[in-house]
Amino acid sequence: MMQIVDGLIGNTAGDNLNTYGHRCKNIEEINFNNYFLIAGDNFNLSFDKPIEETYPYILSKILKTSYYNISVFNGGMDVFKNNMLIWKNKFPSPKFVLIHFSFLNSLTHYKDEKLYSSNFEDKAIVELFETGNYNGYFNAKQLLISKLILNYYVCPIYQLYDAVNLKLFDNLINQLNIDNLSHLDIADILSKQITSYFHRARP
Amino acid sequence: MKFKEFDFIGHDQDNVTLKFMSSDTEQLFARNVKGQKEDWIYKSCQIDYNINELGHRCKSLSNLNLENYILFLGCSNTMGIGLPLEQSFPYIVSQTLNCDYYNCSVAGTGIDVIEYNLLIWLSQIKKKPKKIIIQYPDHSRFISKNIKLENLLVCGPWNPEKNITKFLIYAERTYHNHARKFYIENLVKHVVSDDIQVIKIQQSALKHYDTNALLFRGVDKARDLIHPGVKSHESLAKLLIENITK
Repeated sequence: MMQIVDGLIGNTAGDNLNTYGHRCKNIEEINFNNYFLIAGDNFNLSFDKPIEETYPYILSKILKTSYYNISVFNGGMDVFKNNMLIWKNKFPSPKFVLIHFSFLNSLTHYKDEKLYSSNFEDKAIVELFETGNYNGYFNAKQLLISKLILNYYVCPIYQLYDAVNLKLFDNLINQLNIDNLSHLDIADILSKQITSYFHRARP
Repeated sequence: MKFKEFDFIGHDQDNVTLKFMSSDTEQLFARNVKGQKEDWIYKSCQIDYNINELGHRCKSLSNLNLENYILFLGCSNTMGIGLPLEQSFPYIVSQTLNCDYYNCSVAGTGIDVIEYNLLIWLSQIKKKPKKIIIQYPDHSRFISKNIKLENLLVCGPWNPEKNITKFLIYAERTYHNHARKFYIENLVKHVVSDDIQVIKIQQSALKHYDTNALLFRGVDKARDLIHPGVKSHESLAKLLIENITK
């Protein structure tokens, strides 16, 4: 079951999560003058690792910036859209956004005022997922959400992707293939790309 | 449906005046008219569907009075399918309240397009509306995209394809439709500025979205004998005006 706090959706309550259910510092501790935003799902959270070994944490140390991680485990595009748009409305814009999806088409379900991610042991959910794939439901959702995000976020967006999982954006300029890269490698490559971008962008 | 300027979703056609549109087809009219009494109001009533540059049934965005307007979003009911524009509830409400209006509604769509057009409006149009009126359609409707086709397709219970029918059943059974409703409600609550009054309306026969939504029911039929007619729109306009001015 996901948490919903001030409209933002967070992970199931547990250790190492902030008051919103996000795997990062509390919002009050973020330096909004100099921070980046991480959005997406499972890989961005990497619950199997200590937070100090995850690429968002390492990148923030290299760049000496704050970060906020609004990723939600198996959240899929709907949770991503919800969190990205509400974040944009409530907080100052980040310097850049990093996104990655391990399961772009994950779905959510709302019952008794509680939000759940899909349980694929439920045959009805498997059917829903398969028919949605065939009838173009996910294609449309992807198109609408990618357009919304590009409308709301004017800062650079970096999309991390791999060979196995679907990407949200087809033609984003800033993309990084993370196949065979460790979290340390990812943070290292991103830090160089981002430093170079902001160096070029400076008047 | 297609993407238009500013990324809005509108009807395929734009900058055009149509005599028939959506379910209000010439063939259906020819069939319906045979069974009606002599004084059936639509027998000689001309309906013009003036579709603007964004594929919406209202004036051009460039002519909208951005200082004083209401934004309407919904499906064919709010578009006023089967009715002259002047008898549709958005027109009546705006005239009565002495303000301009923009109608972002697209026939056949569900909450995904309504939510999308609302969010695009808030992002692209800097002058915010005085009020937003959202008409929630049947919650099972959705849009689909075939990667080989340019247009977006509306899907709903009328659709005979197996993959759509099954999807509708399982979206209901797994409470996915309820999640989609949760998202639009949550986004409206947290993204729309507090100083904009948001009024939600829905047909009383549909599954409820929000306990605060104003419920309306059709008391007569429009020219297509499918959509709400003149009296239904008048009554809905009255309900809205009472709610806004109370």
